Amino acid sequence: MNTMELLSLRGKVALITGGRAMYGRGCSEALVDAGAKLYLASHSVDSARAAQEELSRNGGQVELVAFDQEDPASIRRMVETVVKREGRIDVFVNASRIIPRGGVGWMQEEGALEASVRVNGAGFLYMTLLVGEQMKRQRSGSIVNFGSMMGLIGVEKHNYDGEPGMQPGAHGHDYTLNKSAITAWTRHAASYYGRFGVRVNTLCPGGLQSDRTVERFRENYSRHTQLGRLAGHDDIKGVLLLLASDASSYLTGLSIPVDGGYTAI
Amino acid sequence: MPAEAFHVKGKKILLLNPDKPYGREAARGLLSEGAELWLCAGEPGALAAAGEELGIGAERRYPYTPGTEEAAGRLAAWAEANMGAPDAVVVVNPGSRLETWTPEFDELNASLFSAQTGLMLTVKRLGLLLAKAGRGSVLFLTDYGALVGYDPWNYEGDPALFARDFVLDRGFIAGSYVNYARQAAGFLGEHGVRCNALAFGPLPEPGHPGFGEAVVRHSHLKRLLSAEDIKNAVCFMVSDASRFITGVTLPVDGGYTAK
Repeated sequence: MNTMELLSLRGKVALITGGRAMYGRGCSEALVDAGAKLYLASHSVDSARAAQEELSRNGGQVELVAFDQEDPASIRRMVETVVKREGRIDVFVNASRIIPRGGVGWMQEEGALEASVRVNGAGFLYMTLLVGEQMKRQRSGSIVNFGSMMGLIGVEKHNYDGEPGMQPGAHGHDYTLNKSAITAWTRHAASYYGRFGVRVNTLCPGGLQSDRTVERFRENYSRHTQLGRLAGHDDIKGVLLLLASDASSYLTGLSIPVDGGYTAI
Repeated sequence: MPAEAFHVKGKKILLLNPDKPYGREAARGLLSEGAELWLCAGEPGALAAAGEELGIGAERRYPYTPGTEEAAGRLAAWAEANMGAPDAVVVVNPGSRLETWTPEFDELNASLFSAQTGLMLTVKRLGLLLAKAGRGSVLFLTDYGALVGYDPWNYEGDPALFARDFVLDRGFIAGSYVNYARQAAGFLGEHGVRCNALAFGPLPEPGHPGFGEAVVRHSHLKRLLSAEDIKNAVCFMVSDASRFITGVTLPVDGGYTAK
């Protein structure tokens, strides 16, 4: 097969959660650009219409589906809706999570930790399970989890030097524990689903430059990367497309840092 | 004298979940080397049984169900009142509560609540106790699933064992310790406290010889993990011999994850 055809998602059905903003938005664009019919799962379908319109602008097929990662019934409905309409899910990208509120750093509070485990832990596993079981029936599919480079290394608190009030956040509990768990679970799930032709991999992005990025943080962080910069909007697209497509048909159980070399030094 | 750095005699160690895999062997090993041990477990019956088997009296046992700030705070207060400043806190992975790959959401959430919410609150409170003393270490005992996927081919011909081990959140729980150890090492390190993890290979499975043979076939040292191996690794990690090691997950698996 032609190499570029291996990267094509024409005729495939993709489902993404958290696909409206930040890294997730770049992933949505990559999936649509590659020709997939994209189901964009969103907590608020109404507020996702603008994203749907923009993603469809160049002829992309984008459908909206309601989804609340805190609600297992909503997760079930999301998966059932796509399967009922399309009969299959070829690609699943789970890029959604909550940022729990309550306490900072080491003093994160019980409510925040419980919420994180319920939504970012149980919710994550539950939706991936439901899609994984559908792919198991299909005997094919690619699951792309969103980990983080903070699932591979601990937080460098000096990245926050010069930013009063930010440094205590460097010692939080739930984010690194959750992302570490996703990294290991990727291998566990790949072991389980591999026999059924289903691949499971994880992207581990580093810091993303956005209009909210504090300049001092950008400087500190950039000095910890080999490429000397934060990630740009397009940096996630190529590797996402690789994992989603048949170009990675012999690739499973991996967690790939997309971090400009942050974890390599 | 270098050999003295390896001693754990007289060290005060709080061990959580002695009833879970690797816990009993770790406790026995620490006691045999002269450490002073206090035990915590969620199930009173299991705690009593472990205490009686190990010769640890009721005054050194604490029934602890993790998952709330209040319970973790009470545990830390009990530890401080009874131990002063512990030299080490050893947390044995409680494992999954699931019995299937396809659980209902509430079962899954309950399993993770016990293993992860409870873990974070426990480490937060006991970490503050150690930080106040300005010394000591936290050690997690987990399994090789933290580092590699469990190998389905090791279970060929043994569907019952496969079903027991391939539950949905097993790797999710086992693997959470790896980077949590690194992260906790960041906060605790500034207070002179270390945090590490040991990732053990499988223990012998009586009644399942095929699994053990498969694991051995894939191990460099061509044998399964022994109680002595667990003892040696735990003693090293809580002793002063490892005083400059923090944020590490050390495989103790005969080379199983190295191949």
